[in-house]
Amino acid sequence: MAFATSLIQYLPSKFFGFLPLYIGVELILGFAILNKAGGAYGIVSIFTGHPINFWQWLYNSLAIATLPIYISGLSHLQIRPSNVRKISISCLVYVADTVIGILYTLYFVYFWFSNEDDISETEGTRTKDLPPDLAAQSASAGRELFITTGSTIVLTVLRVYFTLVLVSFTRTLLKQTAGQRLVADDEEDEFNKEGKVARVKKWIFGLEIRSSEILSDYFT
Amino acid sequence: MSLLRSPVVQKPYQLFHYYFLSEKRPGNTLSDLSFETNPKLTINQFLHRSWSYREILHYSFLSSIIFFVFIIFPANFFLKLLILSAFITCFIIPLTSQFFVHALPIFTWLALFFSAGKIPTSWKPAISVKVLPAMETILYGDNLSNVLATITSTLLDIWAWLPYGLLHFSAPFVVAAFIFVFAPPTSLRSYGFAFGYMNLLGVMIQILFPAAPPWYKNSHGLEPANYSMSGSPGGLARIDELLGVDMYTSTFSNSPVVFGAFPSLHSGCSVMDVLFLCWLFPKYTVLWWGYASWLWWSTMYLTHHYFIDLIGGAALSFIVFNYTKYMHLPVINHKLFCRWSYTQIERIDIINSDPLLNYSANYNQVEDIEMGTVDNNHSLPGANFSYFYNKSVANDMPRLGSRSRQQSRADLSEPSLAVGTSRLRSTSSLSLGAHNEEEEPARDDVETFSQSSMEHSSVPSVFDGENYNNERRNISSNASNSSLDELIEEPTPTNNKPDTRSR
Repeated sequence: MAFATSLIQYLPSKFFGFLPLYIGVELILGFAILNKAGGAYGIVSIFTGHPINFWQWLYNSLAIATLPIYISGLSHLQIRPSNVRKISISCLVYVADTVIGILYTLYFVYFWFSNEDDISETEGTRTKDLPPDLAAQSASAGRELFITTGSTIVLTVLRVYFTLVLVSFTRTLLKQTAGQRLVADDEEDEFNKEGKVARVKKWIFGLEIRSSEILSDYFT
Repeated sequence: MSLLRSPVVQKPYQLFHYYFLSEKRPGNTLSDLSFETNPKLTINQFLHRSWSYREILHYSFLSSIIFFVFIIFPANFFLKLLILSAFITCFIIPLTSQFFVHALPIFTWLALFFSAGKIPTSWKPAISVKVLPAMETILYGDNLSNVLATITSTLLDIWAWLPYGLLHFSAPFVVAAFIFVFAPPTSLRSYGFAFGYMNLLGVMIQILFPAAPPWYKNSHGLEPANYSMSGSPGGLARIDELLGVDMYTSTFSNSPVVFGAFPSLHSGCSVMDVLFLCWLFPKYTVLWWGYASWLWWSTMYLTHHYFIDLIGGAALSFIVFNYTKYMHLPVINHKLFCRWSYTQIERIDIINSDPLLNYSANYNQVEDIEMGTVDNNHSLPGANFSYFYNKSVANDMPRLGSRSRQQSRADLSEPSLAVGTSRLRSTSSLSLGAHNEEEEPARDDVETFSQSSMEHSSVPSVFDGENYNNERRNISSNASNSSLDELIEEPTPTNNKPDTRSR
């Protein structure tokens, strides 16, 4: 709880200091969806025969699993009262995604530099064959490394900031809806129907409600 | 005029009138185009307009890019001057300026793109060869282009060529046509703004951060690149081979931006098209995103882009689209059939569309506003955008599914048409002077509609895309006071055709 209390003071009240949080959430979930689509393309390696290891396979699978949650969150952002549930589950998944994502980033940094980055062996010999003016047109190994490292750090920091924005938005939303019903009458009718689809919907609904309860408990 | 009366023109016009123009209310000039050719009108507008700082920034930025292109392009100075003069002429004749002014970001992008190859090599930054494959692996776990291009076949080549080599070039025109016909008036300006700026910013990033595409890694490995190297058609070379024609090999070999892998403007354009199509026809959202996914696959399969390039282009589109949505794009009313059905233009109120505004108060307010149209799910009226098919769209399904002239007419006659006006930043109060209704012949097949709507009938000036809050809008009223109806003096076909509209 002490962590929750100290976290709250770092939560932004505006996106980048001047935009309403909901516009930030819209962009954050949109970017997340675009990024997670990569999982669907990565998993195609099963069919194309491109070799991937277990951790890459798991990474792609997790990306695919988060896709429907983020899509549901973004598409319900403005719809009451379901937005409270959908944003809650999106927020919880996004937090977990950030933690797992950062660990994966560290792993993939290691993966790249140990497997793919072979320029150090070849650059020395190849640049010698080129006239100096042409050789200067290509980025040096140091510059490439600087851009790669800098971009990775900036994107990771941005990712953590986006997480804080989403948490801040969800917290305010939960605060405003404390004690209110989070399900519309027609949704309830859907859940009470017979059949597999209704059961799946009810199960997802249960997860959403549980997410909002976890976050509500955490913030109070 | 004899040409206008010929059957070749008359028949399509009659059909067009029957399906679209008959939607228009008498006295409503909102959807009219200007057929004026007197340059004085535009010059007067220009001189008497009070420019906002955003407009000044917009035009200064684009002018400076055009000036840069003018300087670096290696052609005869007088020839360049002649081309520029022709361009400026199009801007000052009202008939053409109504399109040219709003397409300026697109023209600027094209000018910069095609002259990018003429920028002196010494000015250009060093080419990155490793950054993209490294970032691709770090962020997405693998080189996804390699994943998808591992297996190739003729069938897959053709399947990849369709979106990348054909649809990509035609889609923006089709989307523009859809927006012009089915979206509220002035929407096409927003599309021009968003599409142009996205591409312009994309090309600027490509020039400032030159990076090698996947085909380079496949043919040269990670060895250093230089600007004397030619481009490559990548997988499209197989299409040239298959068809026996040089459609892509020469074009891509002589590309003005050889090392412009990041961001992918193929992705940027397709996502921009998709975002506008989702906004316009949310019912087919899955289909639109299916197109973007197909194009994404094809760019990686053809080894033209890494996945990170695609995300770069898509994210750029998403940012520019959202900026345009909140700052320029009119609110679409899915009950209305086409541009001629609109009697007022409204835009999203950013403050009041915030879901975090006092929840309880808003909940009740929305409930009041939407009583009878929405049962249990409450979406903010300003939020009529959708990237994905969702519940709010589901609630709209009867309306979306029957987006028709009949529905449009029936809805227009309802006083509750102005849904959620308390939350919408209406621009109608800035209309260009009241239209004189008495000038319009009364039409007995059109039901009466509210006088308040009539007061909103107006056409914004060609410069008004940037600043709707400018209160001196009466200066543009003369620019758009004639319509296609006035040019063709034949009786309208509504008297001859069975009228199925709701009354």
